[in-house]
Amino acid sequence: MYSDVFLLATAISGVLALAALRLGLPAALAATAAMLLFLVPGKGTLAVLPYVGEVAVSMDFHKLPFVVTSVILGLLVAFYSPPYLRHLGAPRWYYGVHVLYVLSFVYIILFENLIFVFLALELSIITSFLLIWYFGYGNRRFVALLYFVWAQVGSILFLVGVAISGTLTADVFEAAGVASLLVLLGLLVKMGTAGVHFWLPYAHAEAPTPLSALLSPVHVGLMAYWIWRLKEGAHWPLDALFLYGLVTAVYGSLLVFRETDFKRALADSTVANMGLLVAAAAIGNKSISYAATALLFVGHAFAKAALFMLAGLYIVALHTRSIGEARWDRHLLAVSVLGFVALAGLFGINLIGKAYVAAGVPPLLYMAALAVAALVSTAVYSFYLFNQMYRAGEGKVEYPAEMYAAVLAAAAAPYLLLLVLPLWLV
Amino acid sequence: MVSLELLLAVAFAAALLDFFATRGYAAAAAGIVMLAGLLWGAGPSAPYLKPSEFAAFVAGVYLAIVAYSHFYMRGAERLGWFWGWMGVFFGSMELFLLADHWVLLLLGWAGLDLASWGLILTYRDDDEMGFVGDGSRAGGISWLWPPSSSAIRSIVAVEVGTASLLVASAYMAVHHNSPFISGWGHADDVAAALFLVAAFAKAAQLPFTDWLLTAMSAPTPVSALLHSSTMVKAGPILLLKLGHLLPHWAAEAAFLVGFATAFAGGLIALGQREPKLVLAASTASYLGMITAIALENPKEAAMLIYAHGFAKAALFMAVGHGIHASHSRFPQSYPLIAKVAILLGMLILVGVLPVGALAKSEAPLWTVAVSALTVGYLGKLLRLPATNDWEPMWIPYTALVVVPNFVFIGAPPPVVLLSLAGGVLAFAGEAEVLRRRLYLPVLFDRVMPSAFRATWRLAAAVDRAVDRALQSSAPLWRLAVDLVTVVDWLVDAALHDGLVSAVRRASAQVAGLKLEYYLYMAGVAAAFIIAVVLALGIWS
Repeated sequence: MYSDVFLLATAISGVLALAALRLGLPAALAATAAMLLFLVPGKGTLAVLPYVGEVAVSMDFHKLPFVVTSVILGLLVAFYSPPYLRHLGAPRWYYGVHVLYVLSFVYIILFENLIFVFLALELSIITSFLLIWYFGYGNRRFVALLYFVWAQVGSILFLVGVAISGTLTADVFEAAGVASLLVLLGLLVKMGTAGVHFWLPYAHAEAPTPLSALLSPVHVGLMAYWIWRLKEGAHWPLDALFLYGLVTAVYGSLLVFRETDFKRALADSTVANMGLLVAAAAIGNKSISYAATALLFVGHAFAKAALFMLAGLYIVALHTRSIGEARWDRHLLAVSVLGFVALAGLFGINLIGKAYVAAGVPPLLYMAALAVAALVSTAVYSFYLFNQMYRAGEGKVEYPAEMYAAVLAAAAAPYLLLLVLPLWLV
Repeated sequence: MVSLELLLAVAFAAALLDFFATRGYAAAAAGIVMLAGLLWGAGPSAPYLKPSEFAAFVAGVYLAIVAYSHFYMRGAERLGWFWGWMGVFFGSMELFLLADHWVLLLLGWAGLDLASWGLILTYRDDDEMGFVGDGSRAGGISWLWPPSSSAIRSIVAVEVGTASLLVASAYMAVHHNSPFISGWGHADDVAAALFLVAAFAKAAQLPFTDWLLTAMSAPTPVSALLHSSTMVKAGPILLLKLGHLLPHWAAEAAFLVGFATAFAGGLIALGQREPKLVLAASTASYLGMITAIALENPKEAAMLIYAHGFAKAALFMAVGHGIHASHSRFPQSYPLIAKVAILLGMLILVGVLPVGALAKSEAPLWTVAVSALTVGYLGKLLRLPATNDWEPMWIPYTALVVVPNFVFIGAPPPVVLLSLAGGVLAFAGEAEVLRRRLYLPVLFDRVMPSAFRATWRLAAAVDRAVDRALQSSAPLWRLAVDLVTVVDWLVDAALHDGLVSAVRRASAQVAGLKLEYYLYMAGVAAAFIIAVVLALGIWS
């Protein structure tokens, strides 16, 4: 039954995506909205293929936050994009590729067959690669290739690991030794955690900003779902992984301070947040781990997307990427407070996500100290960035209303979601 | 019966309303509703909340400060910002007090950080009223903090405490398998240490003290609220909430830190010329006193929280009256009624008036010395001349130092009268080391930033080096490509060129051998032999 829903949703959004290649925004919005069909809960088998086995898809409560966030942000970013793309002089086919990119997020989560997860990863890489290659900044072809190669390395390591494990379905995934390490390494490369993050600041900063708003929080963050999902069968050393996550959080936070470029600072901040997400996904207790992963993913996705879109607004309005040159009026001040405070994890669901990450800290003094350092450093850089922007001073900025509306919606989301607080107060 | 959940919802909704309406009427309404609801005996309708004895006290003080703010902030800019954050401040403190679920406790606690940060940013960076310090240079730093500097100082310091509380309470919730604080058992050493750090950072205990002084960038009503009933008070109240779970050594640690801060704060207050800084340092001092005894004698600590709350809120508002009237951060005179309130506040703090006397009834002897310092630094304010200004902002603060004396009644222990001898300190000058706040700002504005800068620069340098190395490895890839090209060419040449031409050469060689002639000759010879053999056969 769910397979029919899946095929129908794929058909509608796929056709509309193709239409968006010619028609642009309206078709893109319709295509992305059609992806909400995927949210019908259920499980189904699309086909049984030789070697690959059962190609199952499913939608359940655990997948919901990841898919909903991807689709809602896809819609918001599409809505935000027109003035930006006019600024770039991008043609309409941008929207078609954008929709396929968002669709790939949904697939990454919905597929239960890991080979098909790999294929979904490929779709996401190719679509985002194209957008960077054609519409990026600076040395965009170099950056696009850099991104493409690193992303391929990640997804191919994942594929090879899965293939060696011989268990191609998430439910029965079981891996040991090399296979399990390859899967983990593949996912970490794609997340850009410390040591394998070198591509991330380039790609996320030089991508066209509407793409950055999806690439930085959503695309990389989705890998945390798979770490959480596969950890039981993979037998990873979770304590070490948790520790590594916290170290990444501290390291990424330190990197933020080197930046004067708004987008690069946000990209470095993504490294830090991926660290928190890895730690969240590596918590032994599966339900706490899930709460931490989902809350941090959703909170970070909205906050980061909002701030990238804010950076894009400055690019369009003031033609600057330097955070020290940003000016604000009270409306821009309001969204930057919302965005930076949520990104800091000082309030909103990000705070609760951090609290659940803290629940994974073992009762050892050095781990507690590291956890405090990770939680403080991820908060401090946000306030540091805000302070840079605040000190740049008040000024008159003229910007398109739809860009502002999208930024505001994304920035307010982590706070509005507190209203569903009772869901996790159990 | 009204539920606590509803009261909290009203408080936060009022904050949102005031943010947009910029008027502060919703704040007053929320304060009244909260106070009335609590006095009416509002209870929780779900197990997430639990009544707190401090909730009504906070609402009462908030209400007085809201009334005062309507006068103080008249004509000020950014009123939506001010009232919105005031509402969040109040709602967060109540949430913190009433929470029994660890996540709600954290939300309240962090909401306090956030709101205080926001409120410190109320004045613009170029507005003199938001400055702290006199602009002199000492210890390698400039002693002038605009609101944005004060805000980041405060958030960084308190975030250390918040992160500690996150880790500690999450650990307790998991370890005791209960999200409810009332279901927790004893804390082990790591958790206890983190709880203490959280309480110390919030209550501006050493070494975190200095953020509280620069927090004076906020408008005076904010200081009145922050120092009396919200924010800093959350530190000792956390200790009161969890005291029975903490190991024995925690009480000793709290005593040592609190004791040291009580005296350090009192001495720093003696050295300040800016009246708000005097009061801020005094808060650190009294919070030190409360922290020191919170785990030993919770009942006494609770009474001190009340007495200090009423007095300090009134002191700030009274000093604010002077600032408001003189439009200067360094008023040279105070309205007469403000001076009366300062005097009454001082007498509450040292334990002469009934509410203070009740609080001091079981206080240890050393607190008298802290009180003597109090008389000294507040005496300096009282020495300034009086003016005649009766703007109605005096009503709320005077009420705060008068009314509680009819509700909480105690007789002053004779020993507290000794502290009045501290009045002689009011005639002393300001020692440089005290005026420089024991040089703590040098630690926070020079030493730590330098260390931190060195750390991130190191990280950035390492990162850049690896990044460069990866990028400069491009020639290696080129070499690999070239190598493959050569090998490929060799194989290609060997397979395609080499083999073909060898066959061709062999073929040409063979062709050059005039094979057909030899074949012809061989054929002829064979035919001849066959013919001979046949002929012989026939013959025979």
